[in-house]
Amino acid sequence: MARPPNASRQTRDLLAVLLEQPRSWRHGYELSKETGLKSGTLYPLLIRLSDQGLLDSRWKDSDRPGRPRRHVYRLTSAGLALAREQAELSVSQAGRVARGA
Amino acid sequence: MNATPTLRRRLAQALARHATALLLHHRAEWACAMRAEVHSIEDDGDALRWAFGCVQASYKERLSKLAIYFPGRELLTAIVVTSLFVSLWIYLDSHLVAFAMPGWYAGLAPADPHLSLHLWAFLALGVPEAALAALCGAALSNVVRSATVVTASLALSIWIVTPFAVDMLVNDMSFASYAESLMLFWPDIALRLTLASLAFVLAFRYATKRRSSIAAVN
Repeated sequence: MARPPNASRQTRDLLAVLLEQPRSWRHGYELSKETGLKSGTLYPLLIRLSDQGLLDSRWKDSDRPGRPRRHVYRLTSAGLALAREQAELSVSQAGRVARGA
Repeated sequence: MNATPTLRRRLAQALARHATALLLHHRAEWACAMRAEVHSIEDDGDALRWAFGCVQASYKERLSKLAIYFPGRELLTAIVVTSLFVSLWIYLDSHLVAFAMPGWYAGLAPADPHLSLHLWAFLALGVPEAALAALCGAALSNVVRSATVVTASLALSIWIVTPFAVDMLVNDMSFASYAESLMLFWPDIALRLTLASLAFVLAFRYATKRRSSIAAVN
């Protein structure tokens, strides 16, 4: 059976991290540090979420002079809804596992 | 910041440039985002690891585009055409060439067989090769914007790789004897190569135009 979209562990981890500070703009390196995802995994996920309208992005001036602007990200309202749904699902699954044990 | 970047920093920058170049046509913003991020990372080792990942991500993205462009019907066509081509080559190579020229060819054969156009070989190999080249041209038009760089190399590789591999397998030929046989059939080779290149370029241009017109309508 095909897995539903955005159900991979990596996507759930990324959504969970973005959900922690839903109004903050986060850059890729920071997201990588928090999720443990390498850039080779992170960027395809960001691109896909952005294509699906779940992720908003913009350019932000660097805090350090002479450094280039950085691309920063945060969830859109649809992305937030999905992230919350995924979080609730994870909690309920964890509860079922705990009860089963 | 150091005046002279370290080797790791230079490598990271080179990888970032490569990742950017891979994505520039399709995902310009993401390509710039990756490059900017590499420049923003302070630690050289981290920047290098990040840049490696960016290259990986760029290739993934490019391959996913290819997968979208190769729907089942076209992929099946490519497989069928390739199989027919290889089967035809094996048949001709092991039967006609190994024993004698076919009877109908005798009347067409010119006086000097070393400087002649072998019509049967041209038809048997040139047409499938041209079809393959056209298929590749149409497929590659989605990936590259200019046919000039890839045309010659692609046509050459189509022509050289398949018969070469089959010859080596079927006839247990050495590289030297294969190269020698190439020299004997140079008029066929030149014409087949021209035909394959032409088919490639025409298909490439047609597919590019068609895609542009579809995009304009949408």
